[in-house]
Amino acid sequence: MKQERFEALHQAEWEAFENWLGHHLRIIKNQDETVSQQPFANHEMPQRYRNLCQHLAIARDRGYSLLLVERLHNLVQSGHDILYRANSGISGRMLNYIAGGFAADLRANLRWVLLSTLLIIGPWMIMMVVIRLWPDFIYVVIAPDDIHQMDEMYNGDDAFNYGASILRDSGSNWKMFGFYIYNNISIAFRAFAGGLLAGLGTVYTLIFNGIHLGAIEARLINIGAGRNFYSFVLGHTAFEIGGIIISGAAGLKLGWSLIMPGRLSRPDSLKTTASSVLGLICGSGIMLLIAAMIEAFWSPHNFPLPIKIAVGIFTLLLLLGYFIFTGRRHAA
Amino acid sequence: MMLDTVRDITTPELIEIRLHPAGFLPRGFAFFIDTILRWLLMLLIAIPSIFIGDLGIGLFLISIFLIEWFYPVFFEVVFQGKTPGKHLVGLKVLNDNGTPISLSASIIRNFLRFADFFPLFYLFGLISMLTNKEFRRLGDIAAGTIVVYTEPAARRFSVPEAIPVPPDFPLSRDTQKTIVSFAERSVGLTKPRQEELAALLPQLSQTMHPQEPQGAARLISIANFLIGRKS
Repeated sequence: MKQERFEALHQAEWEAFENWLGHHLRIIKNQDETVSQQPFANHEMPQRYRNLCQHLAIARDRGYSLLLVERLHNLVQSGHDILYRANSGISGRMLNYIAGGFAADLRANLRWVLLSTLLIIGPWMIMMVVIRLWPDFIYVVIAPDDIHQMDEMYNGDDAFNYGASILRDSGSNWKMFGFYIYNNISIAFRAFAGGLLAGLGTVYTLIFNGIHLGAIEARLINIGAGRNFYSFVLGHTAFEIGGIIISGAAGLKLGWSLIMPGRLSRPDSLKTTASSVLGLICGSGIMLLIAAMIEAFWSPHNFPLPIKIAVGIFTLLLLLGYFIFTGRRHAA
Repeated sequence: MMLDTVRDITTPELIEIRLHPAGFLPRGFAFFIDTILRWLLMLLIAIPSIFIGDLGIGLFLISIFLIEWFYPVFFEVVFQGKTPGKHLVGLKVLNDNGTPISLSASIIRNFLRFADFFPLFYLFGLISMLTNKEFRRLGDIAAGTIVVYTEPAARRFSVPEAIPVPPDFPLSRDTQKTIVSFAERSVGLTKPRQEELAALLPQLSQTMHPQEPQGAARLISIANFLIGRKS
């Protein structure tokens, strides 16, 4: 069949498809300047799309002109994009994930979580012991200016500008909320991304944070600000450290998949692992968001220490209970 | 013969879709535009937040966080793989099987941006793009995504009407294709340029019969014959 006849035969069909695309993508004007209307019902689209694929195959095979092939190719590509778009049921999947998928996911990756925990808790404990024994060692790990600033922040009876009230003024709560979100969640995401550098970025972030946390904790106990310190941190520790550990675990797993890809090629191994840990990353982001809320709006308030401790233990048990008991049905 | 970098995707309908991966330079431009837009956006939020004190600083920090990590994710997912910068340069992100980018792939490729930035100024990303045959940065490899040129809207030229003339000898398929393509494009070319191009094919564009059309007009007539128009 000559090109002319082929075009004449199918012209109307192609134009209908073009108009449908325009309508679907909410382009107001068609290429021929008419207002786009829906030329056929949505459910006819796959059928018409397959016809179009066939036309493109024929046009290519018979060597019709490049412009015709190009036009059909563009139609097929736009149709393909619409037909194979994969974003269905996202809210349902998210709910499922929060309801237990996250916990199941975490248990499935338990060894990475344990390794990540070890990498942060190990240096932490070592620092605690070292600085309790040799207090001046703190000057090796933290800059003197930072130490003085921290000492001043936690020392004294009025450590967080409560003034007469036991509540801090709400504006500065919001300021700190923004800061914790910006700072802490970025650290967690970067710890994950560092996994792509063969895991070295993640290992560095975890150890570095472990050293800092241990050093600061030991220092504040040394100068006698332990009460203020624990009153402040206990409420959000479980969520914050938990979040960092989980994103660290994701980063470590990603790094390992690059080092030891097993039977896959390295790009494929990276790809599978990255999409398998995505849930962990989002989960850790949410945990850090919760931590930021607690840290900004609960932690600075001057309630009696036993209440603060009780709340701290409660959040820890809540988190552990969630990770241990939910999502059992998800596990195959 | 095509010299472009092309990735052929076979769809479930067994038809091939051609993608043209974009190299480092256009992607760099797109990134540059996006960076400027991001800064403008931050400035826009910063100015009013100065006036509401500590609360404003808090909101500003939250928005910086969101812009830094979710600006590309938002645009890629909502606007079919195009951030404003990519849109202006004419690029888009797709999954590497040619389907529109999914939310998860977009999150992965943008969260891993930090590894591409390492150690400074996207050095690792640049090395990765220059060594990968589809110009993918590390985040693209891990997310299974690919940045391609958006296809320009198909031009709607057709072969201008002329009296069909059969060629003097049988033409190969490639030659037929070339002549029809030339005829289709001739509408967009000036007359001298048409003649100049036609002169490259003297065997076809020149004829012994002086009463018949010569040069470009003859090629267009042959094209009319080839696509099957009747006189």
